[in-house]
Amino acid sequence: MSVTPKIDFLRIARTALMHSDSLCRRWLPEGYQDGKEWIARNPRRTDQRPGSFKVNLSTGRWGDFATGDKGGDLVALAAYLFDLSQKDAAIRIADMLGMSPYDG
Amino acid sequence: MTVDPFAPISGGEHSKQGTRNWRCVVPVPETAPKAPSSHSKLGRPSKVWRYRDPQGNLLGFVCRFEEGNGAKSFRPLTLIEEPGVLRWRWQAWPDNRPLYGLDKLAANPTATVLVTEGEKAADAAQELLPDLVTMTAPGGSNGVGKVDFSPLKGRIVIVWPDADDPGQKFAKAFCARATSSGAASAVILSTPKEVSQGWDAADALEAGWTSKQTAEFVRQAQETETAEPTAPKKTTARKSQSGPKKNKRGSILDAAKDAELWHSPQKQAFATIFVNGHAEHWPLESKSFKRWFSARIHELFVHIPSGPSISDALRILEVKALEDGPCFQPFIRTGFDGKACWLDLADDAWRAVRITRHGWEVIDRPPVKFLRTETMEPLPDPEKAVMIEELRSFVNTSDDDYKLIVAWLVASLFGKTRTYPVLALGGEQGSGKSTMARLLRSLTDPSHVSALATPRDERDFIVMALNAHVLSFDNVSKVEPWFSDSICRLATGAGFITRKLHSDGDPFWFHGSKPVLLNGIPSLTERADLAERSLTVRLQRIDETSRQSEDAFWRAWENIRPGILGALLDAVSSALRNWDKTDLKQKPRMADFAHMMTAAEPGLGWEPGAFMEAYTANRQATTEAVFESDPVAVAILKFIQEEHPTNGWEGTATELLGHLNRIVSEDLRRSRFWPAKPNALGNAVDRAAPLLRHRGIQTTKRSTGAKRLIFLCHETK
Repeated sequence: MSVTPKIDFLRIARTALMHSDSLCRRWLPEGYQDGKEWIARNPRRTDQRPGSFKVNLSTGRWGDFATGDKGGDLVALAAYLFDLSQKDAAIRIADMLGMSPYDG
Repeated sequence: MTVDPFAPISGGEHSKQGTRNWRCVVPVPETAPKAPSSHSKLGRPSKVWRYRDPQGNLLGFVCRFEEGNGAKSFRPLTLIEEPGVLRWRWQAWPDNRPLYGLDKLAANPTATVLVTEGEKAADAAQELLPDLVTMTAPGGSNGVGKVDFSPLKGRIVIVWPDADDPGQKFAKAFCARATSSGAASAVILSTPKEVSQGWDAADALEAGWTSKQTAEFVRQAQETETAEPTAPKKTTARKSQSGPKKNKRGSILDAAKDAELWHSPQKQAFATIFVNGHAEHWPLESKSFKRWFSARIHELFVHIPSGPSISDALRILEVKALEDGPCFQPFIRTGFDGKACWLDLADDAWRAVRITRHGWEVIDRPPVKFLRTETMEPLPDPEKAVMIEELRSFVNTSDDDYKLIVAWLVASLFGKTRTYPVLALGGEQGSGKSTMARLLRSLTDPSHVSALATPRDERDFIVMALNAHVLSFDNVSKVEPWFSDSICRLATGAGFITRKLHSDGDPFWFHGSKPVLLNGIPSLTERADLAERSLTVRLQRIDETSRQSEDAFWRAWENIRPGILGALLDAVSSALRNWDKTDLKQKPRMADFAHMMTAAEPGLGWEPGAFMEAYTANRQATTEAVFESDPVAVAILKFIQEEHPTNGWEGTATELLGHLNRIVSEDLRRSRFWPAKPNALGNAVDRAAPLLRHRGIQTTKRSTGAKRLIFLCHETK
């Protein structure tokens, strides 16, 4: 286990944040931008209209105020939306952004 | 959504727009960069129009540039997202282009939409016609195909084309797209003949047209407009055939603005409409209302609305009726408004009779909401000054029974009552039972279907109860237990509920009471509870000599019917007058009915107490017959009278069954009417208790923890 390099979540999340608006458009296509927030329907539940599910495009914090699901960065958001572990989500996002997921 | 949410972010597909690596961002976010104020080649625009979404958010711009030689050109300006960057570009929205004026459209959900070619003309037209919503499509006639027309669904669209060929082309293209996207209608105005090429609303504004003048132009042009048919087929411009039309405004919902929408306590939506000077009340889902609504739409508007658009409109009206409309109690045939009784004549003029304590009169526009069902026939105009005795020669019964028939008639016309007795007509073959039923119905609730067959189940029964005031069942040979129970509940007023057909859980229900007429029952004795609520009348055989021909009989009847109705209404009026003064010493079953008839007696010219006498005798005969048909009651009576005449008897059901089995005959013991087990006997004792009470025997049940005892004794005099 000790040989597996550590995943640099912070760096991945920071990089993802630079693309936050396009990621949100891609992952939550039925949403809209309202100031610094991306407001969308939560695809993980039968959400009638956008309004409860928000992603802060400048910090990456997100939450569904109806269900209480929330997270602090876009990696957590990807994990939540696509039902991945945090680690898998981070690796997938790193691949997408064309960066190495590991530190060092 | 793309298949892989984690496709590489640079150069990947961003949307359904093929291999473009840019997408148009709508609405424009607040964080977007500032839009450029000039074009690199064309310079500063002479005019900028903002396109907004229904919420008023910016979607993009269309700019007009003046070129040196007097020519003009237009450039759209939209916000484009390229990988990682947002920037303004001089290009149109790629697809689903917005119409100009979506925010105004959303703000005026019923206004008619006037479409011009170009934003300048639209703004000018808006100034001239403040009541309308003026819109346009970006990009002229070639751009129409890429515009999202869905916001125009259900709207009335009028196109004011530029006075030239491209203008016509744009208008035609626009109409075709609007109608195929579900606009309620789309017509093209004819421009005046004497105007210059390319004349539009902006020119009209410059020429100093007034709002009134413009509205008049739109109206006149509309009368000679070319209606764009929904089916794509070649049409030549044709004058519409109908006469002058009113000015169109709003949606087809306006056609219903003369209707008063309301709902019943059962949450059913109704409309009161005015036809030929009288008010009619119809459920919104009724054919009559739909017919009226379609006709009104046709009067108001050019086009004939499609079925779906009418049903959409009806849904909206239903919501209005339920949420904004007042709540009224609708009535069928008879009603009570708190002060007066009402009787619906059900004639074409929708008149009704108002019956008060002082008398009755026919009212042209009754304030109570009477509903009509398809089968209702009109009652004749009642006539005054006829004695009820005129009815006697038509009714072949004993005097007492005749009184009960009159009583049932009065009760059926008395709108205040909550309980009605059941009238059961018995009699042998050829005693004219069906004729009598029809005759009685013609006084209370004439109907195309005067006699009903026994319903199959409770749902049928509810349908019958919803559609008529009097339920007349013909040739009832056998009363099923459920049918008997339903009649009992209907007589004393109860709720019925079943599931609506073809629905999962929508209830279908009726609450209230109705007069019931049964004919052809050999005897009701097997159903004691029904017998309790019934007036059992035996018709006498009509001997051959006095039998009239049908024709002569009904002719004579029609002559006298208005007068009889009048006499019955006198009785109803009398019942209202004496209602509070009447006080019955003993309260029989159907006490309200007895109370009402005692109050109505003076109006019929009967002796005081005549009705109660007849009614009591009738009930006694009924109880007697019912008693005779209950073997357990008969056996208990015999048991007590013969073995315990003085101090009564107490014991368990098992013991009692043993005693009774000793008394009754072998045949009876083996018949299915005899309780085989003690628990069945317990129930039978409960059923027999009221019958035994009439014979002076009290039955009480008590429980002492270990035993459940039945106590039987003679009533202490």
